[in-house]
Amino acid sequence: MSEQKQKQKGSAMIETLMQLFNFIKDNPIPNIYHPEAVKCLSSYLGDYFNYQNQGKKTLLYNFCFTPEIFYAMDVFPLCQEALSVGLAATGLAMNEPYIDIAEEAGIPKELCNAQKPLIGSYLKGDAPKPDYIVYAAQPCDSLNIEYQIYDNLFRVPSFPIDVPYWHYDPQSQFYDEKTLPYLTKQIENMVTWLEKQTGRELNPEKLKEVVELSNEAQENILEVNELMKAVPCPLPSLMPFNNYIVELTSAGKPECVEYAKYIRNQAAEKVKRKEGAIPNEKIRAVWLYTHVFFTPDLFLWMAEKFGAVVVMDMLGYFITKPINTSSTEKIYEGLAEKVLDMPMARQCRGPAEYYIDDYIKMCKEYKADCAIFSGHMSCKHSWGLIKLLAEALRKELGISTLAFEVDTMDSRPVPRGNIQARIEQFFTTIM
Amino acid sequence: MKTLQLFIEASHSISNSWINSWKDKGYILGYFCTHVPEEVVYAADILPVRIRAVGCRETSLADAYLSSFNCSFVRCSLELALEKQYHFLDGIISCNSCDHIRRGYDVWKHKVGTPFKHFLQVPRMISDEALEAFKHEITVLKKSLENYFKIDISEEKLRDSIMVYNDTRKLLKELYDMRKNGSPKISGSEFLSVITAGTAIPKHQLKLLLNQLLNELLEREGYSDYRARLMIVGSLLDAPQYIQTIEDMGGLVVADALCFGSRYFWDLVKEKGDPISNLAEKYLKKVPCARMIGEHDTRLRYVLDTVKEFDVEGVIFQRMKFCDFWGGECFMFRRELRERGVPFLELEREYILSGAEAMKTRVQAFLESIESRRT
Repeated sequence: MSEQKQKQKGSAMIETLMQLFNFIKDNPIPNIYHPEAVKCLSSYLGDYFNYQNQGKKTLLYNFCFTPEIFYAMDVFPLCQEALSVGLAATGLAMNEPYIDIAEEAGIPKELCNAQKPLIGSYLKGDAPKPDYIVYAAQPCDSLNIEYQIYDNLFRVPSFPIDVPYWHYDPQSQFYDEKTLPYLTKQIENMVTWLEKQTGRELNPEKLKEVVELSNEAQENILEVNELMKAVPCPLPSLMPFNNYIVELTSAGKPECVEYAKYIRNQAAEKVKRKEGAIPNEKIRAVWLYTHVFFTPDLFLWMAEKFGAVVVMDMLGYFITKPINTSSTEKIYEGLAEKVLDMPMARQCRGPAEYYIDDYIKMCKEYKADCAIFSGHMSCKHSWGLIKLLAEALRKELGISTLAFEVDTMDSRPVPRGNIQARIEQFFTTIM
Repeated sequence: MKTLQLFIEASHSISNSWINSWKDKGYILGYFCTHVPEEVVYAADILPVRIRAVGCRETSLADAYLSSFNCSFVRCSLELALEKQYHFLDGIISCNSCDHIRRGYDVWKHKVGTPFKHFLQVPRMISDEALEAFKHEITVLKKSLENYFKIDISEEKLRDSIMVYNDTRKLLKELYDMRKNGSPKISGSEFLSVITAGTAIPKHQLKLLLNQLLNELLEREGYSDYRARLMIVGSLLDAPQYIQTIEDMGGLVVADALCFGSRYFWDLVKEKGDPISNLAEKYLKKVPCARMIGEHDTRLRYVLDTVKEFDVEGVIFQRMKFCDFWGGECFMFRRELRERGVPFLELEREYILSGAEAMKTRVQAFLESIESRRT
């Protein structure tokens, strides 16, 4: 297939996703898809076409990196996992046919289905072939190797980034002084590489402008995360994740700032009125992992049946600090810190303590009654520590953990009914 | 073949007579993965022993902490540690080889009472920055050993250690090269026994044993009655009986790209210059494991060169279930080797070997397909 044809077909796949988001935007289902988040994601996908129409390049990146530099360099940042999560979250089993194609071609079942659909769709001729790839080698082996498979299939220029194991914070027992300089240098190198690829230099003023917008959004999201600690919890269970996905794709865009301010104001007003997201909050749960993306109304069922609200989850715990914009060097350093602290990467890239300490803190601060681990089957690193974590939560805080297996992207291995049964048994026991 | 028999017997157990003798006078450290620079440990007069899980039959203790989605090698290793079969270790060194080993180490650290524990961060890429970062990590390891065991690892000690390790690597290479000709003096399963046993033998003694073995093999008539010359690639494999199953069917394994194999001894450490820098360079730039990002083409080239050099007629890619890196590599290798006309067989396995009959059926079909190409 010619490159032009491949691009057109790939655009058709994104177009389908955008049309679905546009449909939801015009026909809101506010209890499941937050209208403001849908608006942002719809605009993000629309920008993919706007950039293409202007002859601009597309860069594929992974969910443990951050898009500010790409916006500053006027390259469209296509977050691969936003596509697979988006396809799953339609609830229409849209990832599954692509997963099957990839597996039939020999991709092992145990590799992650957050990345596999792109392989399947590319093999089918449906995927957008990017111009460049940048990926931070975190949070797991599966992501690392699947991005290398993208390299191998697409044969486009790519820039992998090696994310260190150790901590950058001198207060941490796992601190290492080389961590931050090592990653910062790689980000600088990535900019040089991208300048060479695009033939355009990064404008430091433009970068500063983009990062300041990103900071403004993040300051609001940090406030939202504080407000979520209130009893009753002001915003519904899906909100922390919505905040994350908007920032992941749109950090540095004015729409992201508007979104974050809107959510912050909504949360603040509700806290002021002591109004909860659900009428009679009975259970406050911390969701120890990613959402079960293929069943976006699961939390609604939990709220209606048990009065349960998810007060915080792994991806929503987006606690990166605003970046010092006093110089380009400081910006690179701040972006490196942000990459080290990206949700999921922050917990999963290093020793078990990163994960365990975060959740003890989170469960304590958010006054959780229980914790739920929807263990994505291919996340071997998390399955390798959940028992240590559950033990720590029980010992330190006296709270119980439900751990169940699921493929968050594929509705078939563990269907919604099984998940509901596990949650029901758990809530019935602890209530 | 007295010496070969010694190796074969030693490969059947995680402990051996050399370990027992060493334990009487000194410390022993276990380490996961070939990215750990053993020379630093040996220079401290401590015996480094690579963690294996031979003898493990079930994983009930380890499964209390790890899950069925974790690699069975790591679960089996942890099982032996929790059963106190690794009681002879005074310490453990792990690294970020893969997610399974990382988490296996986390549990080991918290639940097994091994006194000294150290984690080595190994960069996943080859670059100037990565090399600097790795030098720093090796220096931290050295200091950590010095502080804990109250010893001094002098530059001279390091150089001596590097030299003896290089000597054993050269001898292993000599042994490996004996498989190039039409009648290899040593089979694939025997070679794997030598390598696995050698990871738990002090290198000064290993050097003597390898010299003895090379001499004994000179007298040996080579293997010539085989159906096909094979290469084995993929995940960690320390079970000679796995290769024996293939060889019993007539496929002679003449080469490999395994971490308990050629990737263990292929590259030498430079002996001139700063020892830490030289160790960092060797252990970062050695024939890459699938954990090394952006190195697929190097791995492919290594396999293709070996296929040519050792007159390999088919490649068996064995991968441990849930091993992401080698699982993904397998997808790429399958396409690329087949495109180049190299027969390719993929086998999935668990650490505790089972399903021999299914494996035999597939190997039989593979050998037949290779034979049919000749006619």
